[in-house]
Amino acid sequence: MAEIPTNKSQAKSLAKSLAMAALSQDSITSERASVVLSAVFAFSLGLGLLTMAGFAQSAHDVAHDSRHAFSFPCH
Amino acid sequence: MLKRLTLAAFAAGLSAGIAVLLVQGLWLLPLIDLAEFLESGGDLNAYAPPQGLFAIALMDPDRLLGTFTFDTLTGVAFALMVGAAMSVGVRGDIDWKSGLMWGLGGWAAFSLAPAIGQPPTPPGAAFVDLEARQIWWWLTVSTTAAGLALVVFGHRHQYKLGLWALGAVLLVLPHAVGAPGDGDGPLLAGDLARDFAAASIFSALVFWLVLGGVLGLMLRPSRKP
Repeated sequence: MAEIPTNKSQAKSLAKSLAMAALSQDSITSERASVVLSAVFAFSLGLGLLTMAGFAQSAHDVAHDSRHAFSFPCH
Repeated sequence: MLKRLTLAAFAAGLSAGIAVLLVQGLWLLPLIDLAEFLESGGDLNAYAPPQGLFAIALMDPDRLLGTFTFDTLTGVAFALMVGAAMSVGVRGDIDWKSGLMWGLGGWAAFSLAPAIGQPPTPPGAAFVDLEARQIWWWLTVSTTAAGLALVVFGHRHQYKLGLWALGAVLLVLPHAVGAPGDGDGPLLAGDLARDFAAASIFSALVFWLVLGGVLGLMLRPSRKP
């Protein structure tokens, strides 16, 4: 715990370190948010692609052997 | 982050697509060829199997290209989903070895668990209700994936016993519900059906291990701060 500042320069340095701590906390939170957002986006993209590659009837003939191999229930 | 994840997913999907094509070409595609020969009323004694991957490729290059394309697309799709799950976990834990474990988990969720209720079938197997089988497939892969995650990562939480129990329930649930009936059952039963199921599950294992390993390698945290 920081000591109570007794002069101007100590007060200034305490304020500075508090601001730094707040800033770094903030940047950790926003980095985490960006990781989670990226993950949610990538997961949705993957789910959409999986539905298309595994189940879209329009692609049935060309995807036929691949779907049998992965045992997607396709027909 | 997203760029890195996407790039890793493409690399992993492509590697898995190439690796699985080799296994499929040697083992699984010849079985599909045989199944279609029998389906069209051919006599088993008159069947001349294609010898090796090159024979399959020469027989119908476009078809093999389509298979490769969709193997790879499926790989990229799975890699995007698994990579997303990996990246929200503990960063320091990601490397090619933990990637293999993720691959094993993906194989269990997307190949093994559905195969328990609905064994992989070659062409020519007759089924009724497609929609019911698809619903059961989605139920099974999602509850198995969630159940595995709870069992594997539950110990990090204070209510770990509860999470483990919930995970176990999720793992068993689709099999307790039961896969929809096969209607008239497969037309092609016996050895071919069994061989095909084994070939499918094994090739999926190769596919998932390559996918997970490459994904872990690509997503491992860089040494730079």
